Amino acid sequence: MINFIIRRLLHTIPLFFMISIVVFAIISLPPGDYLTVRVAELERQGNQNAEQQLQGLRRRYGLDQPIYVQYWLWISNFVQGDFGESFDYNRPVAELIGDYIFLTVVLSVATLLFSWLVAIPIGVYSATHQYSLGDQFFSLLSFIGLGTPGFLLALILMVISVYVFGSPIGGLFSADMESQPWSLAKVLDLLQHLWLPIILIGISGTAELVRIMRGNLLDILGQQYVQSARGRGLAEHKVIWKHAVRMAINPLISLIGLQFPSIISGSIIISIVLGLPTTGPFLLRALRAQDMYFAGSFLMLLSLMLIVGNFLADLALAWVDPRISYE
Amino acid sequence: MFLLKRLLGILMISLLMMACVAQQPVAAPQAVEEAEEAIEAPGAAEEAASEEAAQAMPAGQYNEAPALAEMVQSGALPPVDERLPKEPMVLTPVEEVGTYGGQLAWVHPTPDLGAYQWQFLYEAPYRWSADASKIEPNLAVAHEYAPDGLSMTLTFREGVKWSDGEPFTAEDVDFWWNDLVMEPNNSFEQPYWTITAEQPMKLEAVDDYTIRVTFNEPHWLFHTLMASTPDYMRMYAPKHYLQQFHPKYNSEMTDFTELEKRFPATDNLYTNPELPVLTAWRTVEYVPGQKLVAERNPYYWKVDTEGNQLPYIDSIVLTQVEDPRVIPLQIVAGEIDFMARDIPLDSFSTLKASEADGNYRVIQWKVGAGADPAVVLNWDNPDPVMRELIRNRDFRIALSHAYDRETMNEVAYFSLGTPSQAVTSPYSPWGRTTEEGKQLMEAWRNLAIEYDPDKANELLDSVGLDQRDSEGFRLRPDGERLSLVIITGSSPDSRAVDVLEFVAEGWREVGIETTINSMDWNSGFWPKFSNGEYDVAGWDAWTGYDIPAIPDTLFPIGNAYWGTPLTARWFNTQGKEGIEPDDGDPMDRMIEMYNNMLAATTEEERNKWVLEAVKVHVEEGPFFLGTVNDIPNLVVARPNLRNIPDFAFTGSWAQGAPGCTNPPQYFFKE
Amino acid sequence: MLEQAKSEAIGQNLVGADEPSPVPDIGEDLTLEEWARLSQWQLIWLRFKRSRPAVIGGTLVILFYLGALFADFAAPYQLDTRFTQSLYAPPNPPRFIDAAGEFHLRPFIYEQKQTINRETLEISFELDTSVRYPIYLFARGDPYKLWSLFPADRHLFGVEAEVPFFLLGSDRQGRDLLSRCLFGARISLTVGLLGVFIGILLGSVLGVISGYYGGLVDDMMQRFSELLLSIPHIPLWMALAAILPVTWSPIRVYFGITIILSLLSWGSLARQVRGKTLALREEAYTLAARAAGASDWWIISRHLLPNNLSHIIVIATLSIPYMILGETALSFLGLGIRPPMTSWGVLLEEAQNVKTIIFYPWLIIPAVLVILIVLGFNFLGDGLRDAADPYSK
Repeated sequence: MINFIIRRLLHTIPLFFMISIVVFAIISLPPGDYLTVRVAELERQGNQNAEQQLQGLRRRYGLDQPIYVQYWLWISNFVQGDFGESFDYNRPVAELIGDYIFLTVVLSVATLLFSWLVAIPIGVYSATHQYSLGDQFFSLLSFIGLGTPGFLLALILMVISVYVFGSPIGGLFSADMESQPWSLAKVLDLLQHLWLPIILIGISGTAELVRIMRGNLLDILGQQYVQSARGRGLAEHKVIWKHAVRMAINPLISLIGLQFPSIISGSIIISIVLGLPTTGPFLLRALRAQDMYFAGSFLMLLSLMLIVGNFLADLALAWVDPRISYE
Repeated sequence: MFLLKRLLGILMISLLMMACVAQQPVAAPQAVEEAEEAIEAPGAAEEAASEEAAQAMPAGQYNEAPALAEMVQSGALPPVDERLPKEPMVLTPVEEVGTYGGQLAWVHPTPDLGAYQWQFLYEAPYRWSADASKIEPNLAVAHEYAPDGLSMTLTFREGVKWSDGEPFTAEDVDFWWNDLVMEPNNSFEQPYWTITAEQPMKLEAVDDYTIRVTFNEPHWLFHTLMASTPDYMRMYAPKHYLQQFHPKYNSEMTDFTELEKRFPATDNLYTNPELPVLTAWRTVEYVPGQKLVAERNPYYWKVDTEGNQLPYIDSIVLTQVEDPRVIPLQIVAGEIDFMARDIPLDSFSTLKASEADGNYRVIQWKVGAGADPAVVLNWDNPDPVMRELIRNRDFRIALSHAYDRETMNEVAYFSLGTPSQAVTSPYSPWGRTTEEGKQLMEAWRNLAIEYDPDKANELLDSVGLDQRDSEGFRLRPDGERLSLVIITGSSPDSRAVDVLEFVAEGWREVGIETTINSMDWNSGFWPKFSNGEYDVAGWDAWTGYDIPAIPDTLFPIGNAYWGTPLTARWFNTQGKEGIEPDDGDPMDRMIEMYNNMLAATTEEERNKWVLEAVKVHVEEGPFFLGTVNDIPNLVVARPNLRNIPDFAFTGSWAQGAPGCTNPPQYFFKE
Repeated sequence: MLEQAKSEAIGQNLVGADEPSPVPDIGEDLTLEEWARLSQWQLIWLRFKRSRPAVIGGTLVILFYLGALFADFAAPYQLDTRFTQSLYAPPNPPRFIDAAGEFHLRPFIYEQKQTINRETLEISFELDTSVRYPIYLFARGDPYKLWSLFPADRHLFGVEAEVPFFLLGSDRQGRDLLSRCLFGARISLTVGLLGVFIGILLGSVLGVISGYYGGLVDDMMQRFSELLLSIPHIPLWMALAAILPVTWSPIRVYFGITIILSLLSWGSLARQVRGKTLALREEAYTLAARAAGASDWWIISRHLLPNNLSHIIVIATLSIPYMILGETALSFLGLGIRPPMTSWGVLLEEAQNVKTIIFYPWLIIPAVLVILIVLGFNFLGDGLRDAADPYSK
């Protein structure tokens, strides 16, 4: 196991560098750079002299250097923890990103947990009460959930919230809690606001999980050893939960590793619509504005999150399923 | 390029002078000008339309906000009379004298705080009046040009103090110019209006409150330009605070990094809570990308007509949102106290329907742009066949008659706009202040705007486009199918593409194959547009209000705006790049008029050249086509937020609306 | 996304495994001999037919594609036909019983008359019950050229009158939503197909090569696909879409988007194909072929690829909805298809504002279409997978 971990870590490093090159290339590919974007924006507003005004900045941001020099500057600082400065906000990226990445992680993990906590019981119920009214109802729900893109629902739910419940939603904190330091109250406030984004992001993943869980469990319930367990007089719920479900869950764990990226992607779109202080909105703006360090660091950190997530998922799988060995 | 700036400056001053001269004194209001009428606050007895009249307030008893009064009691602040300058500026409330208190909250959809900083706070030394008809003293009280126009003295209000109590003097402005801008190793650039004959101006403090600027060429419009760009913000550089970060004054500082952290050279300036300011509110908290909180400046130097120190409102909270589509929802949810920009016109019925629930009222100001959008034909089209066609007046008139502006107005703007040819702006001073100007404006706006496909067909046939191919599309003189591509920049709430679809349809009906290509504004549209690589461009940011600040909506000398990018480049690079206009063609003549105007020495003469240029547009144009203009700009405000004028226009960044409507005198009425 | 995860798990035999039964019950009465003579594809078809959801899904998908293919005909109006006096008209369903209570065999509609409240600018419609406009099949309408080739003017249905018939309502320029959905389907549905096709091509070929040759080639492929899988997709799409030369015409942008979407899908497919190939590589017939002197290429194209084929088809089917949703998301963010070109993503982007949701909610119908097609493909794919997998019940 230790070997496995070490090998994975070693192999992650070149991957990391390759990703950084791809990311940097992608960000720099559109013609021009941050300053040309800024000039265009200002000129659009009628400021004729944006070009000259921003000349000095070009030098300062190092945008007049050849591309590989810029890359090297960025990556060499990145690994030391200096993520560069955001052109848009004139602040160190690390200062800006920290909170957003953290909240993105919180949101993603919460969504993951939510989808499992909801999907497993529903899947079990559906499988054990196959074709019942409840099963049909949940099936219908999960079908709808499967195909509905969360960002469509987002605005609709917001509208409903305002017009039906009279309460505005959006954001992860209430206005007064936002700039307070972390405390129990703030955590509770966060939880109160989290439910909507979680539902929106997790809806299709949850639906999928439900179906798979149901399918797996149905297969297993038809198996020989389940029948024999029943025959031996084991209580029904023990049969289901202690044996069948455990077997059914195993394969699902390998899915976590692949569920994670879609959750992160989903959270980005949803947070743009809902205006959450997480990655989404800032990444979009940074990409559009070619705010190089900001966007680049964002993408790198997101990829890192993915790699770590995959790694943990593989670990979990290996631990759970004795058939799999990584030696 | 710098010639341009000087010419610009001179043009501006000519227009200013003309505006001042043409402006009738208080007694005789301008005829039926909706703008001025709306500014007149109904029913308030002691109405003074100009602030000069009310300026003679006795420097005696002033009042202040209760919170400040407490601080004075406890000794934390000096008394209000000592905080105000010798002669504080007096603002006449739009409706009534207000009361203190309240917090103003709104949102903005971009990281850039420009809309707040200089379109709301707007404290230029001279600034535009609320109805944008003239320039008025603000922080500066007087200016005087030398007879040869080579220098100007500017006198600031005496006794104004920074928000930390230190006096504001000419030394601060001197510091800005000589210690910041003229220093080579920092990011402070010389604003274009300080440069003449490619040389920066010289600035020196003559006494505590007066500076003198000296130019290399006559530059009559210096103070007007100063009122029309955000560059002025950095003129107010608090020397007493900044010098500790300046290498010249503090040997521990090796460069300007520390200084620029606290006083950035570009963009968001008021993000540092420690920075002393002269604006009505000062920033106390700033979370990048999220919010900004500002509180009353106890040393603000304006009072109302009863001697109450302004502002009335205690604090401001600005929140950043990422998706502008959420804004109407936030308004309906009652989260916004006042907002004058970024509200999509589309949301009008939504907002009206929930006025009671959300506790706000909807006000219609105007955008004031010359065309929403403009259809710009590329005069300098790289394709010689197209170029010849476009330079043919009949072709352009045919194109203009071929589409239906009335329907556009109905469908895209609910008939809230006015079908019109593209002009500089319906509210441009040149079109409001003289009889001749008004008539020319009328004529220009109505040039060839009738929907008349028959006439269009006739004209197109007459310019040699009478051959058609098998599908009914016209053929060019060289035998190829006549095909136009309209490029445009897309933005979420703009109706430009909708309107352009009508244009395209109209052109197809008269046999011209037309397609629309919409692309990202910054990286796609703008480079193409400013390099002249297009046939037709649809542009919805046509804010050509202010000739002095944006002369290139009238003259073909700007980088873009209208379809003469290469001509303009020729002009700006003194012939090194671009295309020279042919002798005697309209562009050539207009450039000559521009030069004449800059060389003119009197206001009347300058105005004459402006109107001459307009005549060229009316008689030999249209050069760029319009669709609809004068559409409303939605504003929302709490029903009890008063002293907001019924009319202003926001389209032009130059005149800083809503800042020029004096937010410090907005108040929450109990 | 999760569909791919699922397929991958299946490929690794972790899910849905079961013991094979000697004579499969495929719902038909066949003797053992008849069964043995059925070709692989016939078997798959028979098993597929058994699953109701799969058949429904398949039918749905086919209907949608037919509708898109024959959009000119199926839609009562052209893409750009607008009725400027009928902005934001609500859906106008066909009726059989008129205002007086009489029943008519031929369905008809009433005209919707628009009034605009000048104060609030709210648009409302009233039915004018004085005149009935019958609906005809194969009605005459706007002339068009089917696939730009065959001029015609008959539409699937319509009212042969000046009055507009908005089955699903109209949008802000008075254009028929149903027609726009059908034309928009052309883009939305084909982006998926093309993208998946490219993805399959790349994925299967590269996957097989990778699995067969192993060693360095395999390693490099693996690293590369892992690279792509490690970068979250949406941001990657956003970045790539921003790169598209923005001077490209909408058509080119469309193809660019397709390629971008496909680039990210091949990685996962390649991995699974590789896995399968690795296993098949050691099978008896492969070894025999090699011993007999067959070239690598022959083995790959004659044995390995076809054996993966059913698997590939299943994965392809399950990837298409992913692409469709991707296009929707991108257009929604303003990075994908742009007006005046129309796709479901563009239609939804136009509906994405408070005003529409409250006052004109029928404009959200394209979302329902998206849901339906996604479901359709999912059922179809599930059905194919179950049918093709010899180990399923």
